[in-house]
Amino acid sequence: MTIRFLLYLILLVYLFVLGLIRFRKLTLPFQILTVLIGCTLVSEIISRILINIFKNSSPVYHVFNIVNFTGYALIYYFLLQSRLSRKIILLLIAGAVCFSVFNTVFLQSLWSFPSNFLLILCFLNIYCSLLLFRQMLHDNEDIDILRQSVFWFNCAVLLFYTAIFLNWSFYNYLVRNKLNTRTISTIMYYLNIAYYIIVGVSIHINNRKAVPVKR
Amino acid sequence: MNSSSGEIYFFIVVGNAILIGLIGFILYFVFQYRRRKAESIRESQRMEEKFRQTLLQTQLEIQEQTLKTISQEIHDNIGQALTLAKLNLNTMLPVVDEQLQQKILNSKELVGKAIGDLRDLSHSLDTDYVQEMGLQRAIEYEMEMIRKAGTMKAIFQVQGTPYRLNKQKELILFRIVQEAFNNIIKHADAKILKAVITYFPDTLKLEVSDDGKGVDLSPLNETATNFGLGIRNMHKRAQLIGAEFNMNSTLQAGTAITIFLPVETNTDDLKQ
Repeated sequence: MTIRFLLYLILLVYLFVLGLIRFRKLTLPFQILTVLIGCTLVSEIISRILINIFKNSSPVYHVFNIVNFTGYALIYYFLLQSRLSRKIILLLIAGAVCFSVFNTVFLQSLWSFPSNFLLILCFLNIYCSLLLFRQMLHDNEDIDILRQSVFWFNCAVLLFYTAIFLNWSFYNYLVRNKLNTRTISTIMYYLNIAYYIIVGVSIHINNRKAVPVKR
Repeated sequence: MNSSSGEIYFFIVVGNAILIGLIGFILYFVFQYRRRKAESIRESQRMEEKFRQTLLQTQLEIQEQTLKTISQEIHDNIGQALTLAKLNLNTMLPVVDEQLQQKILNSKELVGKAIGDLRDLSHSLDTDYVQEMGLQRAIEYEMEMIRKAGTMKAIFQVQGTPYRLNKQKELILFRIVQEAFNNIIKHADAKILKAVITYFPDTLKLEVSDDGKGVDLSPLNETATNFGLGIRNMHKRAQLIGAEFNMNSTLQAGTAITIFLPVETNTDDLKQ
C-alpha cells in the first residue's frame, strides 16, 4: 500500500466521519454526498483486496460507477429546482443503469475497466454542474458565494470530472501506443485528493439552516 | 521531436488550456454572481424606497381629503349655522333695554368674527383653494391670519423673480409651512415669525424662522413625541417632493427650518 493511497483513504475516512458527525445539520444533497463518500471508501478497500487476490479490481467499478452516478444524480436532483432538469435527471438515472448493464454484458466485461460508463458519468456530472451554476446565477442567495457549500461542491465536480475525462482520454491514448501510464495514474490520485479536499470544505460549511433547498 | 511526443504535448497543452478555461469560467461566475447580487440589493432598495414614497403619498392624499372634507363641513354646516344666527340677530327688533341691546351688538360682532375666522380656516384647509392661490399667496394668507390673531409679529419676504411650481409640490410645501407655523404658535413662545421665499433659477428656498425659546433637537432621533412627529412629517413631506429639509435651533434664540427644492426647468415643475 503506497503512502498516497493511504493518504487518500485517510482523507475519505475523515470526510465520511465529518459527514456523519454533521449529518443532522447537513442538507439532503450533502447527506447523500456523505453516504456516497462512505460507498467510495468501501469500494476503494474492496478494490485493494481484489487487486491483491485477482490482480484486477474492475468488477468493483462496474457496480460502484452505477452507485456513484445515481448518488451524484440524486444530489443534483435535489439541488436543481427546475422541474425539467429534475425530470431529465430521473431519466438519466434509468438510462445510465440500463447502459451500465449493457456495457458490462456486451462491451466491457466484468474483468475490464468500465471506461465507457466512466466517460458518460463525467459528461453528465459536468452537464449537471453547469446547470447548477446557471441556476445559482439566477437565484441569488443572501450568503456570500464563497461561503456557499453548493458553490464549492459544484466547482469541485466541474473541475474534477473535466480533469478525469481528459486524463482518461490521455490514458487510453498512452495504453494504445504502449507508453508509460504511471504519471497519469499519479495525477489521478492527486486529482482525487484535491477533489475530496474541496468536497470536505463544502461538507464543513454546509448548514441546513443557512441554505434553503427545495425538497 | 517524433509524432508520438508531439501528440503527447498536444494533449497536455489542450488539457491544461481546458482546465485553465474552466478556472477562468469559475472566476467569471463569481464576478457575475457578485455583480448580480449587488444589482439585486440595489433593486430591492429602490423598490423599498418606491413603496415608502407611495405609502407616504397615499397618507398625504388621505390627509388632504380629510382636510377638504373638514373645510367643506366648516363652510357648509357651521358657517351656514353662524350666518343664520347672524341673520337672526340682524332681524331682531330693537330692544328698549340698552344693556341688552349692547349685548346683541357684541354677539353680532362675535358671530361675524367667527364667520370670518371660519372662512379663513376653511380656505387654508381646502386643497383646491390653496392650489388655486399658489404657494406665495397661500403663505401670505396664512400669515395674515396670524397677524389678525395679534399674538406675534409676522414678516413675509419674497426674493428673486417668482414662478409657480406644479400644484402638488406647492401644496406639499404649503402644508410644511402650515406645520411649521403651527409648531411656532403652539410651542415656540415667539414674538416674531418670519417666512422667506427665495426664487433661484434652479432652486426654491423656503425659510421659516422664529425668535422663540428654541428646541432641543437631539431627542428627535430617539422618540416620536407629538412634537417630533410633526417635524418628522415635515421631513417626510419634503422627501416626497425631492426637497432637502434642514432644521436648526438654539435654545432661547429661536428655530429655523429651511427647505431647498431643486426646480427642473425642462419638466412640468414650473407653471408660469
